[in-house]
Amino acid sequence: MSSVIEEILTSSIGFIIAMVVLSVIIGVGLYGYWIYANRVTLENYLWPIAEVLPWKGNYFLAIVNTGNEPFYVKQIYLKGGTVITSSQAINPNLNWCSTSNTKLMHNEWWCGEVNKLPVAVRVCSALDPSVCVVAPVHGWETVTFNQATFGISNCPVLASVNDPYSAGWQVTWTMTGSTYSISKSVSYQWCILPPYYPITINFQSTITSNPSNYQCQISPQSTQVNYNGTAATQSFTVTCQQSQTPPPPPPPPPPSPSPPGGNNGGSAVVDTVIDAPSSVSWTVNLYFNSQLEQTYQGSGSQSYTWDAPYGASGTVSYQASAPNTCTVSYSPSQSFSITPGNTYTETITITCQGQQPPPPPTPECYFSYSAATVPPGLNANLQFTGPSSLNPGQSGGLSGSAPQYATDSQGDRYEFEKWVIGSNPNGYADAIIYVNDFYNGWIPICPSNLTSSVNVQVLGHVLYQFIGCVSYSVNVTLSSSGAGEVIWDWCPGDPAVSWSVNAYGQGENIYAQGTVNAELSGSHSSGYQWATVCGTGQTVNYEGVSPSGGSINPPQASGSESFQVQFTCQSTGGGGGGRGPG
Amino acid sequence: MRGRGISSVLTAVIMALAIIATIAAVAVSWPMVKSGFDKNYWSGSMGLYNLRFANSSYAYAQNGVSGSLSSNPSPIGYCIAYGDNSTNATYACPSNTPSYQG
Repeated sequence: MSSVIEEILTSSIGFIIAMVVLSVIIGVGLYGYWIYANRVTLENYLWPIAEVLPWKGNYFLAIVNTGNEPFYVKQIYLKGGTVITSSQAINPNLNWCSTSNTKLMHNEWWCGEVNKLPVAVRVCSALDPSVCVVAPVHGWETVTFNQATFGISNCPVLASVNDPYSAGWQVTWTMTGSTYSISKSVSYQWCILPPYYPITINFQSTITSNPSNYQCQISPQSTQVNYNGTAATQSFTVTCQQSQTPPPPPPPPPPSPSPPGGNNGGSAVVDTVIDAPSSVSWTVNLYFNSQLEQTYQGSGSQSYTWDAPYGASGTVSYQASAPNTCTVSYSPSQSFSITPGNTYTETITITCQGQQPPPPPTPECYFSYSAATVPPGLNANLQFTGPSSLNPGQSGGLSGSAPQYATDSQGDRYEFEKWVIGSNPNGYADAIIYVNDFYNGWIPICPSNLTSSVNVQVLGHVLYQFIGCVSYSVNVTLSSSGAGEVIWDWCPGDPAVSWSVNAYGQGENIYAQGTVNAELSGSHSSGYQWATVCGTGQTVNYEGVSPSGGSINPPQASGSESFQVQFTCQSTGGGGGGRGPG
Repeated sequence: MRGRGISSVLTAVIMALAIIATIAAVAVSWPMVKSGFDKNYWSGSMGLYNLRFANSSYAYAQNGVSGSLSSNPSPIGYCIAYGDNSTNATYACPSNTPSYQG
């Protein structure tokens, strides 16, 4: 029997059996490893993110599949050790997530409410339910905003114009190199949002039109506000005086025959009666001797009286404008002669047929855009655009682009920090945006309760932070006595806070290198400077440097610090050497 | 003589099996290794995923994703957030610390 076994083990058959056994073992091993590798691979591609928020006295748990491998939400681990299934969570009834759908594809959300803090979730692959991962639940943070929702009550710089006469006025102001203006003919106040402080805002004001028979002024015509963080106000006042009245009339001339309506005065009186449907708007110009004297604007039927200049006679003519669908007739005629002392009546009849005049236009918000860097004048190509107009209730469309890095006129470097966006009048576009490029933002906003069209200036200020000077210069001087200086010079935005010197001796020379640490950019070093300090046949024996460094207080953008290299000279042949300084 | 022949064949076969096993092991391992790298990259990117608030009603997530806040939780990218429309907003993002550490 043993000979048979020996024959099997040592013969060709035995060899083949051994190879088969070996192959099977390797094959099984490889298969097992393949199974394991597949599970690990699948597990590595399960990418759930679970997050929790406190909400309505419970905890709102949301899970999103950020990967491409679908998975099921299997279990939720709560604080205290409780484990629940996904179906035991309360459905929050939100339209962007579902409690019932536990199979999540790419970017799909599951959500549910639980009464205890969830700490982890277990999800299992939809391809192989036995492959599961446990993901931690990310907690929440609360941010509180104390930034500008500036209104009139808490406006940084509140400007106002008191205009009881309804004269036309314009106020312009300049800050950060940009000029803004506002024009109106009523009393008005508005809020100006300086991008930073301290800042000086220069105001100019002027009268653009006077009411009839009045001459108006606005004061102050030029002023400035220094805003230092404390709310400031700037008021303008419009005052008007009645135009100079004509001289008292001379004694009346002897009575003469006058047409019906004579007023027995020294000037002619012209009554204008305009008869038009109430819904029709019109404009009527009255000319006297071809000079425009009066402009009447209104709708419906109106009447006006005009006194001709004292003692003047001439021709009165009318020019009326009305919608295209209307006809205008003049009675007794479109022009007629007047003489002093008489009263004349002109009736202008506006008749409209067919198509009714269009309704008054819907109020709209009209936007203009301007952008500037802070600090002003940086070399940065800014783009800031948005819709030129929006209907009430509409919003959005703002885009801005600013480079990540900019330089000033000296070449010093700045890095983008944020956009600060405001509007004039306030409230149409207020935002702080921390990305340098944004497109189709959610502002500006045209309020749905707009009653009349408004012109809005949208102001974009791009805040940059200083990050470094254009260049950093550090030099070292070294004399044959070993005395030296570290000298540095660069821009004020990054002052030096400390310095140090490194020295050594070699041959008959000493060498020194200076290093200066700047507040923002760190250390800057000079090259090595050398000086021959020992005579021929001597070598330097370096003993140290004093002081070897120190702090620079207060920090300085340019300056120098002295040091002394201590050394002795020693004869190469072993003889005594001279003593160096120190 | 016969023993030496078998020994040579045995060596050749074992070497062939070893080479085949090595190639197979590498081929099987590569997807697993790659998935490990991918998971590390994903973990790193999620560790930086956060929200930036423009104001109490609007926030930006990564890659230009942005959205408005409402009184109910809503997703902004891979974050969820809600606000009170005035001064406070509450949010959770993949970069936030796990809830059990809070």
